[in-house]
Amino acid sequence: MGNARGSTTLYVALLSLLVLGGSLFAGTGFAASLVIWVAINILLAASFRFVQLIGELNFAIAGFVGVGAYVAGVCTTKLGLPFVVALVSAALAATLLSLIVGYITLRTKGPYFMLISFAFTEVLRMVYTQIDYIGSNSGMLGVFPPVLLTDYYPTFVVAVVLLSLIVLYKIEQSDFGKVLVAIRNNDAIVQTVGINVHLTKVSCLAISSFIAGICGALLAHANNVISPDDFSFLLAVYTLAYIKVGGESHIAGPILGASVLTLLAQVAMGFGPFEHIFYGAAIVIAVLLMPDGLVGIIRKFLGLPPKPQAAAKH
Amino acid sequence: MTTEILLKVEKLTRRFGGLTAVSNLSFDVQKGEILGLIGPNGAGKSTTFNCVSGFYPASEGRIEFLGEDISKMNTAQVCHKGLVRTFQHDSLLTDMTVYDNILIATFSTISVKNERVRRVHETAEILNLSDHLQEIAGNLPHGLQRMVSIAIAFATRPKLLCLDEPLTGLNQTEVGGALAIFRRIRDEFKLSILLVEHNMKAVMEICDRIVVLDHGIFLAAGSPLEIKQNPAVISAYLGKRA
Repeated sequence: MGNARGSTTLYVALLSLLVLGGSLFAGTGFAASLVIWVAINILLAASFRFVQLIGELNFAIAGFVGVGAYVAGVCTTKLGLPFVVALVSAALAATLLSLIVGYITLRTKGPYFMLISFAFTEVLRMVYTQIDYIGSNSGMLGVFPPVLLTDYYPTFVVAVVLLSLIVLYKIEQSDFGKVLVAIRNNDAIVQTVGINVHLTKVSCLAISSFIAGICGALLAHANNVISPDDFSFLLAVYTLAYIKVGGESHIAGPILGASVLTLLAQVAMGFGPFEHIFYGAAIVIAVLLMPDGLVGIIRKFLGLPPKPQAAAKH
Repeated sequence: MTTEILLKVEKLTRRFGGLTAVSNLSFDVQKGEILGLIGPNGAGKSTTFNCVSGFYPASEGRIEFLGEDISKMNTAQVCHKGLVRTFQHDSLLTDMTVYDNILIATFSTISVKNERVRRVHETAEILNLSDHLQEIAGNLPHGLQRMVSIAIAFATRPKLLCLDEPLTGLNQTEVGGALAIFRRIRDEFKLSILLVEHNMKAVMEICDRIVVLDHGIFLAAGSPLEIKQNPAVISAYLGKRA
């Protein structure tokens, strides 16, 4: 068991180095953008899935990404702060907001929490359009990464994403991570053994939102523009599509799903207004034909038993 | 036996709208005893249980645990005072391994990882679950699932363990095994047990004292022998012997 785990760690480390090294050759053109989009979408999906550990579909993720993007954008373009400060501020702002929102809303579960989180995202989007300081409807322009990073921005993004994925995975594997899964399984029991279920759920959302804030900051500085419409509920729907296609039972699911769909979506761009159908179709096909997504197929292929967990119960 | 009072329920009343599920109920659990709470279906046993364990607030009355009023506390707080319950249904984490089921119970009560692991193994050993630690709890046979649900509660090492119909669906051998475990944990860990159970033979065999409820009202209390001979209990619950 210890050996198997050791060799898995080695493979993951090697693969990470390979991806990191590969991203150095992405340059600054379309390939660079693609690398960045794939990396950020992977992290978004991993963040979304983290809240699924407690059994909730968190559509507020799009809102928290937006907060991260705007806070980071204001930090670098308006206040002239260093990029690193912007990145940390974005993550902390999203976390702080999620603590407040989570404390109030996580007393509900299932469809109720999903609807509230959906509404939260849409309200935030409308708030952005009303604030002139951040460009209201037209958004913010000229959000550039520091000159020092210009050539290496894809590599920087990939490094941050890899680090965040490792942190999320470590938390999931810890006893705290098991408590999160136990809450999804049966929260009444978790409560009887002395665990404050509500605060645990709020912490889970806060960790996920910290990551979402980072995603927002990275995204803003990759696109160089921020527009309110980038953070509508559609962002959350896309993220859900990544997870449904990739599979929910393992953190590899978001990685596979986001990679495959983001690359395929480049083809779908040619469909014009039908582009959105692409994601809808992906969700439908994945749910109908691939229970537990690509991860499930790989498990079957390797002869591993299917995991009995990870489906949000509603 | 010293008669130190662990749990004291005083004039407990719980209403659901117009329905009074439990009315003016008083009883106590002494340290080291196994107290049976019995009564026909709908007598208010589960409601009493839910109030004592912090699941429902009491409409009226006072619940004292070790001299402290716990009637306003929630389940998690009550657990930290040393009172833990099991559930009649949905009593375990079906998607997780037996190991993780017990581990969850140590999370808030033990902060050191190694101590948690030791507690899981010790608990599994006592409940005869050591050979099943890596199995998914939901896949186990019913008898073992019952043991897992007791293991979850017992892993917190409560002072008072409240068991909600733990013997339902067990066969004769399994009931015998479970009763032996109840006695062992009572003797070794000096805990008390509040037992809600329909298996009369088992209740009479293991309980030191029994409290009988009927329609939410206190009917009788006493030793198993006294209860068996109590005319009110016989007519309400046990039935006449032909």
